[in-house]
Amino acid sequence: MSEDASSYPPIEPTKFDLIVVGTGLPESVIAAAASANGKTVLHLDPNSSYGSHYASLSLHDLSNFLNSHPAPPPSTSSNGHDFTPVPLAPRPLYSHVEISSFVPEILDDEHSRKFNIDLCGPRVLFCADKSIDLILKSGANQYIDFKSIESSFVCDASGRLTNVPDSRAAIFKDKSLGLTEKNQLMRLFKLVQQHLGGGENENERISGQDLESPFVEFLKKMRLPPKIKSIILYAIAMADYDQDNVELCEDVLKTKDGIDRLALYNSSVGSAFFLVLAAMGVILIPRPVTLFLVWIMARFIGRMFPNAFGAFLYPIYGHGELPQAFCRRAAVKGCIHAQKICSIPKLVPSILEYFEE
Amino acid sequence: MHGQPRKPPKPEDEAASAAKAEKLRNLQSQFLCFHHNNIYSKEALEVNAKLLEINPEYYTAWNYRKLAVEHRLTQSESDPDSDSDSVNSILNVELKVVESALRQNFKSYGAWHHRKWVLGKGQSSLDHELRLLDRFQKADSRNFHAWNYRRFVASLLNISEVDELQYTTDMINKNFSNYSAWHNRSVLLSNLLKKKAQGFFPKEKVLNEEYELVHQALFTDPDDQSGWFYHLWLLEQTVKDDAPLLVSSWPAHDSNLILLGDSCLEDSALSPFNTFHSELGTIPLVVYFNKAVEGVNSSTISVESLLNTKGELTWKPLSTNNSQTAQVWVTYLNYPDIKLHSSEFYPVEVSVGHAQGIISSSGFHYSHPSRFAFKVFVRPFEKDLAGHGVEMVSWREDNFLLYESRSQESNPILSLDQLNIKDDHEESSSEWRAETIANEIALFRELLSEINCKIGKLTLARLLIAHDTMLSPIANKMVHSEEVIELYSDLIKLDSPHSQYYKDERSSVLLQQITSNRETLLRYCFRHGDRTSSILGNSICLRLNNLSLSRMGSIEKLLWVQMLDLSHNELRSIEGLEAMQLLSCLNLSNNKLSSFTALGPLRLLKSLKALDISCNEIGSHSIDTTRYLCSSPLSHAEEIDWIPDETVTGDVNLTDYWEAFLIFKDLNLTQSDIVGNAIADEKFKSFLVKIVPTLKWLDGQELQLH
Repeated sequence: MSEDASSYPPIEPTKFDLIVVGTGLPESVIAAAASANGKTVLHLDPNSSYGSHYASLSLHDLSNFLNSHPAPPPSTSSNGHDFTPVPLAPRPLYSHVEISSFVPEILDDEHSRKFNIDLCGPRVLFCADKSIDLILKSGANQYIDFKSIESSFVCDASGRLTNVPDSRAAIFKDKSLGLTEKNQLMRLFKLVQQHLGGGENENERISGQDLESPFVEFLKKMRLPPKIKSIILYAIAMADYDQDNVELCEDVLKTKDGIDRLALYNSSVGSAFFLVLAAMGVILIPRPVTLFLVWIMARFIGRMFPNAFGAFLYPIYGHGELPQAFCRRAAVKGCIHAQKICSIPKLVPSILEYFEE
Repeated sequence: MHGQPRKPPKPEDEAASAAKAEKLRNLQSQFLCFHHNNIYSKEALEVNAKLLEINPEYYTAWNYRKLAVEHRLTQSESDPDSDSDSVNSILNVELKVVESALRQNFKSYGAWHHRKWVLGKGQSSLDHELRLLDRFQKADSRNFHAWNYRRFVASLLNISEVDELQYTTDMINKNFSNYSAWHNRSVLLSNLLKKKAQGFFPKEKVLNEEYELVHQALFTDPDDQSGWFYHLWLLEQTVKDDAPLLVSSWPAHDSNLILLGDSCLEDSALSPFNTFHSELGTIPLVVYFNKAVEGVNSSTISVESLLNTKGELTWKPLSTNNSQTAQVWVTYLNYPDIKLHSSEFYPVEVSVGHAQGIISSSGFHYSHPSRFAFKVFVRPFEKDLAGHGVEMVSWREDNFLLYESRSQESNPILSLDQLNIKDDHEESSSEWRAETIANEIALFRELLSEINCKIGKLTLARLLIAHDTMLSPIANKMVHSEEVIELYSDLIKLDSPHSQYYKDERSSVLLQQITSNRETLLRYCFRHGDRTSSILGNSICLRLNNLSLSRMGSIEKLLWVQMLDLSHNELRSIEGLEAMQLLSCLNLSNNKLSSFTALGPLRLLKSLKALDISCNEIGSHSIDTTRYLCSSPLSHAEEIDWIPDETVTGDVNLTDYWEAFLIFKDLNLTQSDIVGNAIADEKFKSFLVKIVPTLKWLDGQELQLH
């Protein structure tokens, strides 16, 4: 480690307003924000690649990543200087990894480059979400290409995938919904619209009592069948955890928030015109599935669908693009990046205190 | 494009529009100057183009362009140097002008018409047109001008109807609230079904798929009306018979008609339903079709009888607008009274449609040749009683006794349905109809259990009626009529702007229910106590009073009626009543008739003697809106025998009561009641007495003989 450190050119200047450790999404956003505001920022990462746990790795890189064991904290002997090194390596997320490859041939050089895996699991972005505003405002969008999600599917109890009917036209075209189900779903959408539009009549608004109740209860009250309930909860409102199991659910979605998510979804549909659009299938698995979510995205198979205004966006090369884009934005604004830095010398006592907190 | 609220103009907008108006005026005066002097120079055309770009609604300017094009085309023909390029360049300029006009207002009729006119010259390339249409569809997929134009271009380009149908499917998939797309679909499908094009036969299979498609729209958003309209079209395709059918006649099939002298009403063996008295020595023969037809004459309907010895019969359409197309036709059989013996029955046999020639207004031939027969029995005609004083008919309540029928009487209703001749090949299709309608009923019941939807209720009501009508020959009753009446009553409350329509529909269902079988009908049949009156050939009075009827219906089952009480209803029109050729006494008092024009059908009722129109609204409305719907002195349909000045006597001016004159001049009324109408003042009464010389009682007062 000391050789590595010595091979690094010295970092100048030696004083920073802010030192950010790790290039995960939150860290990168902070670094970009601080640099944009004229602060001097040092951005460090013990890994050789960007993104920390937010990285998207090719299959080859993934097994390397899983096999690499974080280096033990270097022996920190005070060698005459008046500082002590601070270890930066993150705690590992896992204690034991076993990798088995079922179809090794897909991992050969030709194919391994066609797939990326998001370490933090797939995260899609609502087109009308604040995070998109942030990306645009910060200028990070210059470094990311987005794909629009062409269609979404929900996995039902029997493992069948069904399309998510998320608009009037989609409900009309959907072949899997019964006529009454179509009516019920559309009525809910309308009620939400009327409610948000400040409906004048009593029956055009959702009562205050309902707004505070769990969203799942509200949907039950609307007499929506289970299938439609799970479409709304997991594929449109994007609820985490099993909302039906209130005891175990760590984050019960309230009706109020559920309505807001539906509104966000609704305003997201059709607002993606300014971004690169392409076709892509996304599989949305209800969150009760607790397993490590393996996310494979086909990289180059997307065809252009200029009229497919889905509600969701996804970075074209995987989620790891996001922290990288913010890092690049930070760099443009003068942030200094250093990779493979496993420890930093204790320069100023105040920084040390910051880390110890 | 749609659903954008109108905003009041801001001051700066007003200034801008004033400046625009100034510019327009300038251009306009320049243009008119060119136009009047027949100047078609390049400069003149440019001024015109500028004008049209600002105001595409200026038809004169478009017409000028057409003249200019014709002028320049003739010039280039005579010019030896010109080739097809010069013609093209003239026309291309026109296409460009249209495009810039459409940019200003894509709903400009004049601009679209001009484009069609230019393309109609057959010189321009059509490829560009589809691209242009795509642009317009993107701007507003519901722009019906563009859809209209699309049909025009598609036919010029010979685009197959199947492809165009697919296009409507695509547009509907994008957004199903599109009246134009659904409409175009119905147009294309009608053609394809008519041609029995490949993949569009049998009709049942195609329609099933269409039902499937429209259900998706109706259930996804029942508040959107476009799908409902398509559904209505589908329902019509499902239940309609293309070919006209004979639905009833008078005299009915298998009936024994008794022609009476004056004093024979006490004869208990006779059925009053088939008893008829005629002073004219003729019997009307009425045939009633399910739709308006033309071509009814002695060659298409043959009548075999001893009664008619005077050669060919003349058939007359019973139409209030003098058209040669009518649903009901009448002819008169003469009976020479002396030669007939009282104990003898004279058979009459009528064959309808054995020779081709009866055609519906939509062009379908009468294809179910049918035959009906009846017998005529003539009672001795006691002439000495015929001249005996006629008495006034009183509609007083205590004059009526509920009619108690006798079992041996023939049924006034039953015999009608025997006319319906069913072909074998129709079996499967009628089975499919019944199944489809039943399926639709179940679906919409389900929808209505989820939501409260006006148009859903209306559709359910229509489906239930269609279902009952289809089964009525077998079931002989309207099983759903109570439910339908309730639906309409509900709709009247829910949707008051359209309550008049719902009331009309409810009336016709109620009448269908009343006339659906003998038992229900008999509840409305009364014996008129005033037996001595010779006006009445029989003394059965059908009393449909106090039923909130707003229009008449089921008249095909009421052709036998001679005395009809429709008082205390909400009638605004008596359309259809002209078919009741036997009618001699009619009570229309206490209704909502608002003009004499609304009484138009009475002019065809030659045997009408007593008419009560008291307590209506005739004369209360200064503007008679029915005038525009019914025939009037202003319409050319009216056949007027101009009566010279002698009818205009004293201070009564014919033109003041023109409509009353048209109604009453041909009627031989002996009594009439008009009191309780705004128009019924002394002046009008004296006018009425003059134009109806047969009148003996007016408003219950016996008139002094002149």
